[in-house]
Amino acid sequence: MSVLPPIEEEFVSTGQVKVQVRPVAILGEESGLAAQAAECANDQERFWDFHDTLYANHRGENKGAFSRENLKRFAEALELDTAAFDSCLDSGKYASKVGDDTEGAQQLGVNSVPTIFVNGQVVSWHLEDLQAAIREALGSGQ
Amino acid sequence: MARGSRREKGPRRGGRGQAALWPYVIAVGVAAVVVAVLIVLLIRGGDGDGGDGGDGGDGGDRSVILPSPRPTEIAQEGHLLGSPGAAVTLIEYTDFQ
Repeated sequence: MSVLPPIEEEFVSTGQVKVQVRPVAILGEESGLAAQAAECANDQERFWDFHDTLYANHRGENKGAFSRENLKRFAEALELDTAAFDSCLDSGKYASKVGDDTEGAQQLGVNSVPTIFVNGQVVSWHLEDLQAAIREALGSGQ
Repeated sequence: MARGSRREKGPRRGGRGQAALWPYVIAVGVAAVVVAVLIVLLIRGGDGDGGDGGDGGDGGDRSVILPSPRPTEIAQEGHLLGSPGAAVTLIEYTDFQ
């Protein structure tokens, strides 16, 4: 689940906030595959399209929605270079990166998802709390 | 009179000819319907087996939902979304599941 859409609408589209997504894999095998697939899409400069497609096609944890076959179908639907994407995913090109990123996140105290930092401070992912933290960081105090 | 008789018989001969075709027309029509039904059953059967077996909880639905495209004025670079010069940086650690 992502809290980004309302934040994006209110703060990112207005140039006040920039968002960086760091995929981690802590919920099971499909988490790792999905994170690797997003990195493969990033090779083709389509990270955010793939990110959004993953959320749009989410069907619960480890129920096959993010099987290798389905991830390849997402790439095809997005009209990525499927040969390059499939090769990237099948080769495990980003498997160690996802593993390292997950381990690094856990060392920062990220043990649940989503975990959100605003200007370096951990913030509750509940929308109202997040909006308040951003407004405070912006100095608006609203 | 003989000629007149032939003229009168003409249409009736034609009618008999058309009537004789009807069984064939019906047979072709029935065959077409049977073939169409068989094709539909085969396609349905194939989808059901593949979907259930391949994707687990995904069922037979193999369609991909594509999200609405983002406004082009929102910058995207790698994992970063938004203006690089934005005052606030939000980092989201996420598991796509």
